Amino acid sequence: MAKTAVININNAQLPLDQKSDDALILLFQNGEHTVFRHLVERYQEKIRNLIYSIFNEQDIVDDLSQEVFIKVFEALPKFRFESSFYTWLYRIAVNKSRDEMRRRKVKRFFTFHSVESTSGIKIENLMTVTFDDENVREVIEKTLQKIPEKYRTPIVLKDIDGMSYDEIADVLECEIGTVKSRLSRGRAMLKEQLKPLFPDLS
Amino acid sequence: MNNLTQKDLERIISLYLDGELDTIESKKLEEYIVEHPTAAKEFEILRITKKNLSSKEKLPANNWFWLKLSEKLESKQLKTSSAFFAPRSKFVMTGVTLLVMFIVGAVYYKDVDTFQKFFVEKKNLVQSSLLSGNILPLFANVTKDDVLNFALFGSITIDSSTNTELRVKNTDDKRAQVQIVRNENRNKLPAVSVTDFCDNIGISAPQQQHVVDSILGIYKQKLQTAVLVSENKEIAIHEGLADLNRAMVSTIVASLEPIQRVRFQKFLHDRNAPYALVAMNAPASGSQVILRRIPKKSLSNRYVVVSKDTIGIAEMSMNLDSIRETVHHYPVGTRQLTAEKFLHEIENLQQEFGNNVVVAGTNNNRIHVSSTNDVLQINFEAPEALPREYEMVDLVKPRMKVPLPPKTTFRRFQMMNDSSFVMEMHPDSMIMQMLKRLPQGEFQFEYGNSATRGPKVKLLFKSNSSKKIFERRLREMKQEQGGLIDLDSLLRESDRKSLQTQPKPAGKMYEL
Repeated sequence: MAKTAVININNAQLPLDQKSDDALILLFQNGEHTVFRHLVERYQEKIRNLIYSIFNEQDIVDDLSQEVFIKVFEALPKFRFESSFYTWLYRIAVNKSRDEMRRRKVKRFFTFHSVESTSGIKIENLMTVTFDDENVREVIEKTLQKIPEKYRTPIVLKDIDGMSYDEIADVLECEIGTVKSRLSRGRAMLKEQLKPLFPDLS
Repeated sequence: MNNLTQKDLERIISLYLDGELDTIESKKLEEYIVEHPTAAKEFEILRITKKNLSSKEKLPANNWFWLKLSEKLESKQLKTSSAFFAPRSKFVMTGVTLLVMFIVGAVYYKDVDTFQKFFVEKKNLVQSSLLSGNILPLFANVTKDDVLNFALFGSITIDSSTNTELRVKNTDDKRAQVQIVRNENRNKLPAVSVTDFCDNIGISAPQQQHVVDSILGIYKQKLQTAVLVSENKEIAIHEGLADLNRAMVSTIVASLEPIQRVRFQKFLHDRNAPYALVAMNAPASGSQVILRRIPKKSLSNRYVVVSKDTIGIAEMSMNLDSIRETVHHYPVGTRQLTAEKFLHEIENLQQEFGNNVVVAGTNNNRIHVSSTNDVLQINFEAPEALPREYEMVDLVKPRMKVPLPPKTTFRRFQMMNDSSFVMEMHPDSMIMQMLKRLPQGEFQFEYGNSATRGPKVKLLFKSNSSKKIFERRLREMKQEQGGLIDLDSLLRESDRKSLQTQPKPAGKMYEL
């Protein structure tokens, strides 16, 4: 899935913060390491939020995000413009998150615990709330953490980050068909866990 | 759409929610859902889930993300140039480099190649430790009113909650002083705004107001780059800072007509400002003449860098654009954090220095640093007249004298001439930590503590032959470095001191 980088040399006179990612990377690869700061500032919040979505823990966000950018700094000289910087960065972030999960020995097997027992929020207290209530969102976010990473990450990239199937496939280094099936399977797992929340819909 | 398996239904709903089904397929699914309540429920749950996830709340932005990241990058000793950590620009730590060269030369004499490798490593280590991380301009967000008050009264607030301010005093061509003063209870006159100033002096013509505004704007940028705080707990003060306000006042005077100068003289006198006008009757200079005489680029890139370990003079080629960019993007509250960092370091330095005087600089330009509980004081002394940082300082004269630094003899760090120095080191200093990691050869270190002179470290040679090798290597180093190192006289003096004050253990003793 090799791509060709199209770099607009006409933006050479633009201020650094307006240059394209590719232009900044070229400068970096030519020794202008100061531009790295612009890349970081451009994407730091996206990466922080991606990691937050994957783990749903604030404590780990900054440390892990910084590890991501350190890895990016080390690997950037070898960046070949075969994918967009954006998806390449996300790939590194996802891989770092997986490393962290392995480190924590996170259970990779889905278990059909009820929402009540896993989220700590009692279902009966939710019967009267509206669907947009913060409590529902909290339960959904916590339930998402119970899904195996393999299915959770595509959901995060699609539903929270709004990526296209193509981009997700690029980040996860898999085929689009795989992305579709993981999304479908992951959502089905979520749905099964969340069913007790929505008795009125029956 | 016939009866679907559960798996197919989930797949189709998933595609539908992502907008991946075409119109016909979408319509078929919608019809199927109407006919199958169970499918409808599942569809609704997935729709609500997606909707909630897509509106997930974002984390609050972390304004210090880059600063922390740059620290980590540096600690990992990635291959970076010194210009990497923007907005820090390339700078040459002349004094520090010499210090490292001396120490390395003093302890290493086995092999030139190994020495050179070692030297490069240690030099990089020290350079990366000094002024590393981001450099934050202390006065990033000053207004033109602040700049005007600094010009008129020589003081600017660092932190109002602790009543801390930076003051400069400037007496003549030979002496100037920068003070950081805390907790002084004095009745300050209310600040003067630019508008009030123009009204008082009678600057009403738009063109003249524009000139004053331009002067303040240009000097505002100079003030922003004059006091820097590094992430690595050093502070750097431009040696021209003490001239800055005098140059500003003088430049403003140049733009005034004689009648306005009379008003300005009274204005300064009424407010007990530290300056008096000299050329009262001269006509106003044209705006082009005035603005041309303000140097766009500083004559000197020399900063006094103060850290817990040492005081040195660093030449830093500041990238003004980077600084301005930083200032422009300064997050809300950063100035307060910068001021807190600055004050914290000042407190550390005051504890470190006590009432001692620390002398740095060269024979032609000495810098004395001393402190009491409430004041950290940096005196610039030039026995010979040196070119001033700012050309236009002669239209006003200082009204006060800059006191001499207290006379104490403790010399923590002294430049013996432009390229050599001697120092005493704290055993826990960064340099000593570096030295402790060196392989022990024909020399050893001795740690001592003196009631009058504090902790210090001595370098001992075990034999005369070692000492001769050591001296030969130093001479070679001197030749290799184009005469940059001049340690012979230092060695002789150290040798003499050692012989006078210390018993000779196995060989000769040198003080570092």
